Amino acid sequence: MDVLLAGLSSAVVVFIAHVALWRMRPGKFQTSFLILFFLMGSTVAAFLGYLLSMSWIALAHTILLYLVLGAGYVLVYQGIEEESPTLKIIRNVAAARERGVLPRDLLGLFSEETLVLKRIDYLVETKMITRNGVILKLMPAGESLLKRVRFIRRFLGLNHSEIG
Amino acid sequence: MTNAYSLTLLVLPVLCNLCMVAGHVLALRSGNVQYVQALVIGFLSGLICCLATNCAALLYWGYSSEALGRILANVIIMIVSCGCYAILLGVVVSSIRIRILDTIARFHEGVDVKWVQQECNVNKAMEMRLARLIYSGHLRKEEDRLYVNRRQLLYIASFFMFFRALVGQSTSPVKPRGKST
Repeated sequence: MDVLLAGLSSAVVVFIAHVALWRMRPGKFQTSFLILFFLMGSTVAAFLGYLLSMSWIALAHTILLYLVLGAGYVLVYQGIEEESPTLKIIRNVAAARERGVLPRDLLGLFSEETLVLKRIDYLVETKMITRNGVILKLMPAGESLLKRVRFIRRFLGLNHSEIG
Repeated sequence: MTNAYSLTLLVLPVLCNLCMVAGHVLALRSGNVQYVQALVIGFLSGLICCLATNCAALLYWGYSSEALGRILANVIIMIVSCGCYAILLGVVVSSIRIRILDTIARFHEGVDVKWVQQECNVNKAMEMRLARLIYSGHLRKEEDRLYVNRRQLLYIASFFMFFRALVGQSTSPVKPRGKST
């Protein structure tokens, strides 16, 4: 059970550390920082493995478990950072209970500010695009991300009509 | 626990993840199933492969509490991987950020922000999501009104709300960003 316990407890320790940091300095931790934070946290898993005198294979397994849990957390964090439009729709329909909701009533939930402009700001901040006045241009980082996404779409055989 | 046993248990989750991706890609490329169904097929192939191979290893090399712990770790790895894969796939398929990049990429000399806003039309994005939610059975439409049909996504939404409260952010925790033009 050493691998399971060490992997889970190191993930919990790093998660608590992140929550504590977040509570002390709210909103200062972006995704790239979080990835780095969790990667550094693998030293906690390695340390626990060392304390439990694990073999190198068991240690690798502990770190694998920890990294998968960390990756899951980083991806879930995106949903915390910016509420998914899909989940927002679901929450609002559920709030109406048996009265139900007319689709046009949901339109008011989203504005261009929250859905598009905020994301453009994020892409500028992360240097995926540049903004010169009102003109937006793709940067090499954005181009490379787009290339990878297009490769995955081609690999999966998704055409544009399915993507929507 | 022998080295061979230990190494097998380490390699199995990696192979099962490959099995999940292969199951999903093959189902999707067959053209007979929809996007969500293909994803479910992928998850099932990964999970079944995980359970079968780990149980086979347990039967072959014998039971020990350490082996049981590592098999449980493998099951956790597989379940979390399925979640990660679904989220990443969602990004590839319908992320608004990717749509913005896609739109800008069409213009080498740059593009006006208004055009991007028009292309990433809020109403269109909403309609697309609603159609997908109705198609996947999470929402149902009765006499033009929408109702929650399956509650799984609602639980996920509640989980995020709980998480926001836990970290002390009832609203969006992102730092205020620069004003858009």
